[in-house]
Amino acid sequence: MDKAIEIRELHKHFGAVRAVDGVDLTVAGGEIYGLLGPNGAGKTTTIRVLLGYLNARAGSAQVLGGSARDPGIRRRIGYLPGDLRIDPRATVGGLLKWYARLRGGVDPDYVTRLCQRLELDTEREFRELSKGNRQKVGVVQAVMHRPDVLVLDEPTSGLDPLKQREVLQIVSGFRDSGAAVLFSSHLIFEVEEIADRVGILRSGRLVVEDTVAGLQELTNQQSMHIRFAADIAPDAFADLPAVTEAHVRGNTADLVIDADLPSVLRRLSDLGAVHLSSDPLVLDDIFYTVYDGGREAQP
Amino acid sequence: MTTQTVAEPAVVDTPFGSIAWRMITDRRRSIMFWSLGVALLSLIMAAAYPSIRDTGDEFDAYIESLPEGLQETFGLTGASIGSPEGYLTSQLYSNMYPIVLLILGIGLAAWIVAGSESDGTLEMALANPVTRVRLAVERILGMWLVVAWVTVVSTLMLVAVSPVFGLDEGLPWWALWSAGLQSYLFALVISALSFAVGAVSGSRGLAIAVGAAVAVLGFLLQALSSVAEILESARWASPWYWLLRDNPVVTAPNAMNALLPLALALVFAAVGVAVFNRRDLRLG
Repeated sequence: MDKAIEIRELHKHFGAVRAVDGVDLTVAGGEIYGLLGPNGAGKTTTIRVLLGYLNARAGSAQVLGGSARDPGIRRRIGYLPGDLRIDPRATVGGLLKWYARLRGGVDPDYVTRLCQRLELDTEREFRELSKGNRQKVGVVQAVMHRPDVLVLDEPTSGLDPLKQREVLQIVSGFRDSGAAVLFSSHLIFEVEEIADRVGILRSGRLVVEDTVAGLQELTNQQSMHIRFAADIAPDAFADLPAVTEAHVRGNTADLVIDADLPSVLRRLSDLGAVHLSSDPLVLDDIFYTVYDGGREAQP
Repeated sequence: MTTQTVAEPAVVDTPFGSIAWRMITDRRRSIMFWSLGVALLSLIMAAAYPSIRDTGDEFDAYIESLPEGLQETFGLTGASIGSPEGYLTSQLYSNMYPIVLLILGIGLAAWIVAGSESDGTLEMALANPVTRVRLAVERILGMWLVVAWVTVVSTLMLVAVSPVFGLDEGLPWWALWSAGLQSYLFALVISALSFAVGAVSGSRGLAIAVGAAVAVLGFLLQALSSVAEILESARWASPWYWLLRDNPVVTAPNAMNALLPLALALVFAAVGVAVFNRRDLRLG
């Protein structure tokens, strides 16, 4: 099926709040679609309408050509909620066996391998688990029945970097075997790593949809935090066009750099920089870059 | 984009009843404590009977001094408190026993949809190939089975120990089962109402509050309607009236005291399931 997930002109309102406001989105088999947006952008609401937890006000949301509430279709969907809540008294092994029984056709060896791969202790009760280990349970249950469609809401939340990578590899593996993956996140770098296409939600609207390469062109900016040996002048970077934003406080500075990294590094060296760290830009930066003409346009 | 190539998995339906059974086994520890508790209650009630029987005349004299309405409310009319019928009706089946079953039933009913919606577990429960209707129906079934089990355990204990304390004298063999069944059906109606409120509203607190309010206000209405004439015409609205109208200890189950509450419980459950199936879930 070319369009494993098909959302057309979807609207969902909560009172006066337009949580989802005319979203169009499709995900094909063999594709990972990264749904990006800050908290409250409408990612989770879109997913919940898609999966039938919420009713659409208008528009349609279909999975595999039908409603996700149809048990026959639901069986072919793997879902990891953003906030995983499970009966806390059950053991991990007991929970997974129960889900396997409900879904049918689950290979116990495959589940064991998944648990081993994520270093998940199946003997422990769910309530004893850390947030990261709970998330691992969520990932295993989402993929244990080898679904044709994966819907993952913030799947790496709470995981350590090694397990984040492991989970992203598992998700990529499903894409490679033909599954359609809708992957919601507010972390650009992990979406960049695995998504084929990306949609950015803002206030319930899909404001941009592009391939990862296209998105990367929008994210040339870098954010830097620098510490100097001594206090520097507040306007120390005013004459550098590459610095689009600078906040200087004593001997520290936070910079947003658009291009021409060498000129900035030379200036930092001249000013006596002793420590530098660079963070990936948060989603808001891209929003402002794309839609408000750069960070200077922030209110 | 490529076309997906993963073969569709074979459709394997989980047998009906699995979810109800899971609900029960998840609660095996609390069910065990409930069973022990009600068995102990039955034993204590039976063991206390001889002392009441021996002072029955004094109790009867005291009871006769009470307003007639209060006597009715507490099941003190019709038979001497010193008799097995009067003792069981007044001390167990007109108050304590139905209340115990109500507490259990309302607690479970409020969890079925609203409780699991509030604690967030409903989202994962419905992430499986299970319809909302099936989930709710099986959980209702599970709730009613748990309450039935507790009813059976307590009744079995009473049946077993009543000959030891002379509590079976003059009673038909089915008396305790009849009273247990009618108390169970009473709990069935109120718990179904609680379920329906929770399923419609998504609020566990409201589900418990409405169930408890109907039980308490119904009890008060039943009590006051015997005293205040103005309330007498409204006593039919109290579920307690229907439970106690015909003494459940000596009146066998019939259409009015068995089928009516059963039908009412099914209507409440059906309304709750229907609304739950259509509405937005409150998942936080």
